[in-house]
Amino acid sequence: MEVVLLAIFFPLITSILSLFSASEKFKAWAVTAGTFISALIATYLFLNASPGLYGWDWITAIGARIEVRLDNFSLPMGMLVAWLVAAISLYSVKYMEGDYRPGWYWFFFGFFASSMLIIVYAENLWFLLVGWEGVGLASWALIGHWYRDEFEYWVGREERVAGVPYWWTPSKAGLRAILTVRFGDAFFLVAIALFYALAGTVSLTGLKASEALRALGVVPLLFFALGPLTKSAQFPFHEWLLTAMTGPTSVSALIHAATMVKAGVYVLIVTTPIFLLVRGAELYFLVVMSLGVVTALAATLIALTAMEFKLVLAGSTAANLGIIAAATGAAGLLGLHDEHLLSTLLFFAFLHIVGHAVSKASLFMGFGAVIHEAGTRFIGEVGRLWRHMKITGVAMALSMLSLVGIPPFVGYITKDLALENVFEAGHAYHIELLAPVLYLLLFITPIYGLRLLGLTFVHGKEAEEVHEAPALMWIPYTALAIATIVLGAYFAVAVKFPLTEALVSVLAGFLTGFILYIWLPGFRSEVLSPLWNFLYRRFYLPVLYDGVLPLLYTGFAKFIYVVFDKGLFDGLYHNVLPGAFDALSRLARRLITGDINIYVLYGMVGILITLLLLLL
Amino acid sequence: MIILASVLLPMALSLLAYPLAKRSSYLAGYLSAGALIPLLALSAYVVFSGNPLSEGSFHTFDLLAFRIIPFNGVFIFTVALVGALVALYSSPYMEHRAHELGGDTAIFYLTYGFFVGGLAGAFAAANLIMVYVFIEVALIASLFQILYYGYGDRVRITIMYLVWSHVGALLVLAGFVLLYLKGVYYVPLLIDSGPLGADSVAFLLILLGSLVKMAALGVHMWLPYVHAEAPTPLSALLSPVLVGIGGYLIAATAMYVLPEAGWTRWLVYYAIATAIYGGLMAFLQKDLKRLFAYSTVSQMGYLLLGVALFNPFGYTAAALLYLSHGLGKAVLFMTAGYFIMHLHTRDVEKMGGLYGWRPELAGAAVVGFLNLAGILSVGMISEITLTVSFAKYFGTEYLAYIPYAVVLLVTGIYAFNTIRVVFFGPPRREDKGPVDLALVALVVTALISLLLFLPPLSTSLVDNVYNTVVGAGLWR
Repeated sequence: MEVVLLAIFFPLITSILSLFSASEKFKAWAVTAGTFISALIATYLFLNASPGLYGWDWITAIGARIEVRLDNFSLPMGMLVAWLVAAISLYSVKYMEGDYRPGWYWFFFGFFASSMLIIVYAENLWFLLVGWEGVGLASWALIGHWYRDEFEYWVGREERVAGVPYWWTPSKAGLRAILTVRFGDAFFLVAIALFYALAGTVSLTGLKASEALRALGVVPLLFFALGPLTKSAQFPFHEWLLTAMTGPTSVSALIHAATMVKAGVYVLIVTTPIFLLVRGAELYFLVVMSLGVVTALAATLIALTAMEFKLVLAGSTAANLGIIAAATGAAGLLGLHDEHLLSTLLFFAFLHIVGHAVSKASLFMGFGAVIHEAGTRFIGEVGRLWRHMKITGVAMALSMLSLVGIPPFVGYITKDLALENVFEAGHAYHIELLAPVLYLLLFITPIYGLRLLGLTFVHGKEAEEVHEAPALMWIPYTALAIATIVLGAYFAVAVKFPLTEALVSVLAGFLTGFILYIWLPGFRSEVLSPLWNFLYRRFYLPVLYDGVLPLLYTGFAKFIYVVFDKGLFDGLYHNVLPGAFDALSRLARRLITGDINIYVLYGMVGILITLLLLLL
Repeated sequence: MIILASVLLPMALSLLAYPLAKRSSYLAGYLSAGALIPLLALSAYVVFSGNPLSEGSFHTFDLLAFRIIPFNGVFIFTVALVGALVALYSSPYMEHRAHELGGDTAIFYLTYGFFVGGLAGAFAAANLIMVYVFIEVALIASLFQILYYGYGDRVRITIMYLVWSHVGALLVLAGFVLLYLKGVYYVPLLIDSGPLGADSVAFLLILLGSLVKMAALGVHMWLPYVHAEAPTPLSALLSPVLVGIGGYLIAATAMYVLPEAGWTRWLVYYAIATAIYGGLMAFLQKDLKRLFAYSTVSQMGYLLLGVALFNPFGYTAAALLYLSHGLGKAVLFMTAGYFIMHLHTRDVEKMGGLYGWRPELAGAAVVGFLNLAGILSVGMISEITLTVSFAKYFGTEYLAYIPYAVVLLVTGIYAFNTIRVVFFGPPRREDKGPVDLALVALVVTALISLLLFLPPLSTSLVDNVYNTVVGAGLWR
C-alpha cells in the first residue's frame, strides 16, 4: 500500500517539475495532471486498500515516522480532497490564464494539495505536522498571490473605522492568515512535543493505548486544540478566513472546500477517540462544541450582511466549520457516556465535511466566474446575471440550496445529521440555550443564500457585456453542483434521510429569504441599520486585530527599544563607559604638566608610599 | 594529521588567494571555496555516517589533539558549508565593494581562510588552549575585514568589535585556565568525560564569556553595530557561525562544571528573554542588516535555550539550530548584500514589491526566513527537537509553555512582516535584478537547507547527533 505515498506526493512532484519550465501552459497542465493522477490513486485506494498502518522510520530520536493510516476516515477524505483539488486545478487552467505570477501559483497549488493529503493520511503526528505547516505556508503564499496589492483584489473599500483601515490588501491578508495560524501552531507543536516527552509516542494508535496520555489531563488537549481551531477559523480566530478572499477565487475554493480549513476539523475528528480517554476530556469537548456553535452563529450573521460575493461565501464556510466542530465536540461529549455511539456520531460530523466541501467548491468556482466576467467583487454593482449566464446561474442555485441546507440536497442531509449531534449533547448536558440558538442559525442560513442569489442573478443593475464562462471553467463547478443532488440521494439511501423539527426552521428561513430577496426585493429598515452596521463591520473585531493588537505590540517593542536598547545598554556600554574612560584619562593627563618640580614631588610621594608598604 | 591539515589548508591557500585576488576576485573566491572542501567532506562523513574521527595522542597536554564527533561535526559542517558558499558569493560583492572604496579585494581573501579555518579549528580542537587560539585567529582575521571593507564609521566599529570579542574571549580563557588547574586539558564533551564536579567560578567565567560572544540579552549591544557595518559576506559568516560558538562552549565545557542543577532554570528564562527581546527589536528595524543582526540575537536565544535545557534533546537541538540558523541567516545576509550591490540601499522602507524584480531571490529569502521560523526546512527539525527538549524539562508545568509559544510567535511576526515589507506591495521598479554568482550562491544555500529536511539526510543527521549526545558522559 506504499502507493498511497504516490497519491500524496504526486501533486508536489509535478509542482516542483513545473518550476523548471518557463511556459505557463506547461506549469498548468503538469500540476493538473499530477492532481488527477493523485485523485485516481486515491480512488483506487478507497476501493481496494485494506485498512491498516504503513510506514517507514524518519527520525528515531523524536519518534518521527513517515507513517500513513488507511481507515474509514482517511480513505474517503483522501478521495474527496484529491478530486476537489483536481477539479479546482482544471478550473484554474483557464481562470489563471495570463496571470502575472504563474510560477508561484502552480508551485504552491501542488504543494498545498500534497500538504493536505499528508494531513489526511498521516498516522504519526510529526508527519502530520509537516503537512500542517505546509498548508499554513501554502495558504499564506496563495492568499497573497497577487502581491502587487491592486485594488480589485482587496477585501473591503478604502475606509477607516476608529482610525483602523477597513480594507485588506492581499499581502496584508496573507500576513493575517499566517500569524493567526502561527499562534495556534505554536501551541499545537507544544502539545505534540508534550505527548512525545511524556507518553513516548506520537502515533495516533500509540497515543490511544497510552496510559501516560490519559494521566496528562486536559491542558495539553486545549493546547492541541488551538491548532485546529485557528486553522479552521473558529471564533475568535475566524477573521483571517474572511480577509483570505484576497486570493484568486480558485484558491478560495481550494482553501474552503478541500484544504486548510478542513484540515482543522478533520484533525479534531480523528483525534476524538484518543482524547476521549484522557482525564478531564469533558472540558475539552465542551470548549470545542461551544466555540463551534458561537462561530456558526457569528459567521452566519457576517455572511448575511457582507457586501462582497466572496465574503458571503467565506462567512458561510466559517459557519459550516463551526457546525462541524460543534458536532465533533458533541460527539465527544456523548461518547463519554456511551462509547459505542462515538463512531457513528463522528461519522455524522465527518459527513458534513463532504457535504459542505462539494457545495462550497462549486460556489466559489461559480462566483469566481461571475467576478471574472462582471469585473467587480461587490454585490449590487452587477445584477440580473441570469440572462447572461444561464449555466452558471443554475449551477449556483443548486449548490447554494445545498449549502444552506434545503432538502433533498446533500447539504441538508449532512448538516442536519451533524446538528443532531449538537441537539443531543444539549439535551444530555442540559444546556437549555443551545436549541434556540441552533434554530436561529438554521433560520438565518437560507436567507443569506437567497440574498446572494437574488442580488446577483435575479434582481439589480442590468449587466452589460457579460458572457457565460468558458467551458473549461463551468464544467468543474456544474459537475459538482450536480454532485450535490446525486450525493444527497446517495446519502439519503445509504445513511439516512433525517426528518426533524429543525426542518421547520430551515423552511421558515427559506420562505423569508425568498420573500425578501427574490419575490419582493428592496426591503429596507432604518431601525435595523445599527444592527446591520455592527454585523457589517464584523463585530468590530478587525479594530482589535488590525488596530489595537499591532499598536500594543509595536508600542511595547518601541518602549523596550528606547528604554533598554538605546537607553540602558547602548547608553551604558557605548556612551557612559567610554565617557568615564575619557574623563579618567583626561584627569590623568592633567597630572602630566611638564613641570620638573612636580615630577620630583610625584617621585618622592611614590618612594614614601613604597617604603610605607614595605614597613607595614 | 588529516583534520589538522584540512583546518590549516584554508589558511595556507589564503596566502595564495592574496596575489590571485589582485588579478580577479572570482579566482580568489573559487580558491577560498575550494579550500574548504576537505573540511566539508570530513565533517559530512562524521555527521552522516556517525563515525567519529580522532587524531593526536591525548596524552597529558597534547596541543594537536583533534576530534570530530557528530555533535561538533554539525558545527564544522555548517562552518565549511556556509564558508564555501559565502566565498563564492563574495566574489561579485567584494569586487563591488572594493570598487566603491577604490582598492582591491586582496586583504579580504588573505584573511578569509584564516577566519573560516580558525572557526572550524575551534570546533575541531580538543585541547582547550587550542580552542582559544583558533578563536583568536578567527577574531583577528575578521577584525581586518571590518577595518578594510566595513561600512559607516568602521574604525569605531572595529574597536568596538575588538573590545567586546576580547572581553568574551578572555573570560573564556580565564575559565579554561581554571579547568587546566584542575587537570582538565581537553574539551570534556569530546573526550567523553563525566561531569567534573561543581566549580562556580569556572562555570561563570566561561558562561559569561560565551554569552558576550553569543550577544545574549544585556551583552548583545555590539552585535547590531558590527554585523550591520561589516562587509556583507563577513556578516553572512559572523552572524550565523561565529556567535554560535558561545553556545558550543557552554554546552561542551561550562555545563561539565555546573554548580547546581537549579541554575539551568535561570538560564532557561534568560534564553527565552533573549529570544523574545531579539525578535521584538528585529521587528522595529528599518535597516535590513540591523534587522537580521537583531534576529541573530533572537536565534542565539533559541540556541542558548537548547543548551540550558540540559538534556540530550536540547543539546541536539542546539547543534541543529546552529545549522539551520547558519544556513537561513547566511541566505538572508546574502540577500541584503544583493540589495546593497544592485539597489544600493539597506533601508527597508525604500524596498517593497521586489518579488517581481527577482523572484528567485524572493524565494530564497522566504526559505531563509522559514529556517528561522522553523517551518518546513531543516529549521523545522531544530524547532521540533527544541520543543521536545522543552517538554522534557518542564513536563506538566503548563504555564511555562506560554512564554515559549510567545518566542515562536514573535519570530513568525518579524519574519513574515519583513517578507511582506520587502517583497510584496506595489512594485517600485521596472527593471530586473541581474543573475550573478551571488544570486546562485544564495539560492543554492536555500536549497540545501530544504534538502537537509528530507530523509535520509535528516534521518542520519538528527539520529547521529542525538545518539552521540545521549551517550555522552555528561548525564552520568
